[in-house]
Amino acid sequence: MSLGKETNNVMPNNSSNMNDVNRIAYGAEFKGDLATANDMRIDGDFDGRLYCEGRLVVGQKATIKGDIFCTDVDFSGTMTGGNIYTRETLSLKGGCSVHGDLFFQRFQVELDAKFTGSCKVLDEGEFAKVSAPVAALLK
Amino acid sequence: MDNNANLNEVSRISAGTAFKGEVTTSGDIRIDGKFDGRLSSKGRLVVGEGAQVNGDVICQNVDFSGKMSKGTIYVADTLSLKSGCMVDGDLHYKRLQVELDAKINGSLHALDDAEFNKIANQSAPAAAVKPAAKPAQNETKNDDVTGKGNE
Repeated sequence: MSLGKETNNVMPNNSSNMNDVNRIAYGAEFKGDLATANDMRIDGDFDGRLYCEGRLVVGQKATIKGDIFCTDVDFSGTMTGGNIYTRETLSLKGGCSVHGDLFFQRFQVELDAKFTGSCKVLDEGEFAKVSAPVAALLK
Repeated sequence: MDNNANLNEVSRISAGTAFKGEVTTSGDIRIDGKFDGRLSSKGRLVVGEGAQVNGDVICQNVDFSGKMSKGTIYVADTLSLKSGCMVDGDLHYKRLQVELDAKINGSLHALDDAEFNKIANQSAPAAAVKPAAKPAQNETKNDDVTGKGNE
């Protein structure tokens, strides 16, 4: 099981293989809809709708516009517009800047996280409903 | 950039992922999932065995092992079709390499630098640029590529 497992602290270690992690590198720009059953890391620009069944990590230099539907989110980047729907834990890191509404079950904010918008607790049924249009891409 | 100098510099669409829309990158990209739309890269594109890519690809170098059922590939330098790949589409390249057991349906065109630049510029003027977060990205006349709200 542990064969070929990379010890890289960029992503949490429960992602068994680097190849399973989606990545938008710094310098890359994605426009459109993305749906994934795996984890994801964004250091570049994303504009559109994103559905992620794993953990999403948004790096400091990343810029996001549009709606995010995800199980867990670690957000250190910039969001210029759109909402974040988190099935479980949403974590806004110090230095991030978020304009938009947040929906979550659990919420954590670090000192120096900038956030403008409203917050709402979301139950499981609601999450499935709002994320359905993007999740359909996976089928 | 050394090859594999930094895994973080490679964008990746992994297996179990579907993307529909437009990608512009100054770096390399690897696709193992499903891609539908337009991809423009200043670097190398690697399409893995299980991948499905449809749409337009404009790239410096391409290693293709996956499947394309509809699309066009423009490669400024080397297009390499690997054994086991299936490509239905038009291929434009400067240099072409095909392995035994690569399946190709479509047309092949040799491309020179001037032609490539013309195509790269007309369809993606922002391709070369770093993420300057420019709203005036380009006039996407292409109707099926705009991503948002197209279903």
